[in-house]
Amino acid sequence: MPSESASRPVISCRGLTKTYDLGAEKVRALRDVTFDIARGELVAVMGASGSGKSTLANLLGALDTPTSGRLEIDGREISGMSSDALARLRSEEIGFVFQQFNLLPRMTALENVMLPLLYSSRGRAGGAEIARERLEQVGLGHRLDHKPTQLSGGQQQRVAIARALINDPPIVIADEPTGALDTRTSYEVMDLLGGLHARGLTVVLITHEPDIAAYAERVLRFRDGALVEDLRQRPRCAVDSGVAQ
Amino acid sequence: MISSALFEEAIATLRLNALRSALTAIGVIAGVASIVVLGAANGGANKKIHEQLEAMGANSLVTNAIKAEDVGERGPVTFLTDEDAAAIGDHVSGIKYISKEIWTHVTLVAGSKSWTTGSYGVESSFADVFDLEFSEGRFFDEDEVRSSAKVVVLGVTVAEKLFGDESPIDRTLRMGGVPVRVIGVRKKFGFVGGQDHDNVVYVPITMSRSRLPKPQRASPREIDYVNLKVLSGRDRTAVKDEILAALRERKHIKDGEQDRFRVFDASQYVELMNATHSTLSWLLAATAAISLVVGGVGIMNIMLVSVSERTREIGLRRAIGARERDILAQFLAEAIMLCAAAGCIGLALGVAGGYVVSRASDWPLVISAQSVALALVASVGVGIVFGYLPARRAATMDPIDALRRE
Repeated sequence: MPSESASRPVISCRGLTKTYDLGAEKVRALRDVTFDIARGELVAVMGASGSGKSTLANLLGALDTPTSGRLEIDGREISGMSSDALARLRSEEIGFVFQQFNLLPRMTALENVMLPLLYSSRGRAGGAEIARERLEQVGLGHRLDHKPTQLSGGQQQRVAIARALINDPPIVIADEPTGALDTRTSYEVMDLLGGLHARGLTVVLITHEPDIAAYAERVLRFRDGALVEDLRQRPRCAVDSGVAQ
Repeated sequence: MISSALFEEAIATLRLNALRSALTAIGVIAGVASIVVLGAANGGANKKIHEQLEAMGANSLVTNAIKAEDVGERGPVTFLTDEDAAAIGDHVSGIKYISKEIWTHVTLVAGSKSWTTGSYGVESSFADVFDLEFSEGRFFDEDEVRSSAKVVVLGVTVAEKLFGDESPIDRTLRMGGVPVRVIGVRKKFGFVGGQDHDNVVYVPITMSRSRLPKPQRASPREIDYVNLKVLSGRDRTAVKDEILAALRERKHIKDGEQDRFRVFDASQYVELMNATHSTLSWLLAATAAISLVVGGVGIMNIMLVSVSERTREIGLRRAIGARERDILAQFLAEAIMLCAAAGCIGLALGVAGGYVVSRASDWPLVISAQSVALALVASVGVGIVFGYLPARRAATMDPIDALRRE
């Protein structure tokens, strides 16, 4: 399976269309979108608000199914999947990072990171140890027992990234991960996501900020629900961001 | 997915909103407490009634004549005689013991003290009919009845009034001027069936007839009651019918005419008590049910608030892999934990309440395993029934909308 999956795109969209039925009018949020994302790519999805990038993020994150077209995530077609099957796919294949972090305020950093294990088929055995490793990985080994309110925004987002990694997913979907952070912290978070990419994870970065998209090696630009540009670029690296300061 | 982690988390969440949780739970606490008190009262009353039935003499029947005016008829005076009692004894099957009884009022004098009370003139078998027990001494025997012995057995109240703390055994007192010797004191029995069984005296029926002042009697052979004990296992109703049939024949009462006799079954009295008691029980049960429902609606309300407050959390959980049923289980677990905690508090309060009721009513405290189980099942049931709708609402939320909610 590794050799086969290495050659196959980790995400494959063919004629992907999503239409929302808002009573009188139908809104076509995505129109006939086709692209592949190879394993290990760091891809930025860009566009103004209403361009369809959030809809795409929801589909790539298996939170929703397309109206028509095909979407394969790690070789699994998600159209027609049951709610339970989608949940399982999210648990096994996808790590989410959100703009608002979405940490549970009553839980410590460690407990927040462990939360996905509650819904994972591999269970919670040894979970605390794995969660501790993940937090060390994002540089928060000394903040295990802190509640989110005791952490800075950047630290909270790093906890959220550790949480996204707990189940070893092949794909991380980061939806405006720096939207609630200042510039300096944004770069720190992007360095971290860049580091995941460097370790072979596929990272899909949803953003409207060009200097955040600059970290990606490929930019998919959307307008009015359509893919209008698929650009490969030389990514900005961690050293560059230090220079930018 | 029901796991211990789920319940641990539910407890943590509830503790975070401890005050709100506690206020919400009051209805369920009240409902469960009522169930337990109800169970305790029911159990206590049943036990008390059972004890009374035992004490009154299980399987005992009392036959007496009904005065014509009491049934609104004119006609010759109907009364029971020694011969009627003998006929019942000879012809009715299933009788274990039988004792005639005549009743009169007497004044007892012991030293400077006097006391007026009811006197039972009975046969020695009377003690067997009603399973009498004695705190001191004994009942009179057949020889004493035959010889019209001047002996008396006192109720405890009478003994106290006349002799205070001293033992009355072998003391002599005067009954209506006749000197009689005390041979026994009946054990404290209490007020049962509208009669104070401690404020009476028992004398041989023969002595009562020959020596004590008597009310107007239709015949020297008239008796007031025939008391009898039915063999255990016999149908008391059948025995009752046989007695009535025998008496109708003896008294030449024609078919269609009303009975002039009544056979009283002590268990009728118990049934009457039970009926009153069960009306009360139903009332309490209804109260318990209403407070459980009201409490349940409170639980549902607070769970809906909780679901609404935690919409983003629900969205997040769905995003990181929770299935609909995981979310359902999470909120259901929370409602169940809340109700179960309320159930335990209600149980404790109910036991305390049951203790108070039993003290106040002189019933034994009976907390049965069933009522404890019912209380806990009811509280968990309320959690499931009223927690389901909010949990369902949480589970079926669209994860995308839920995540977007501020």
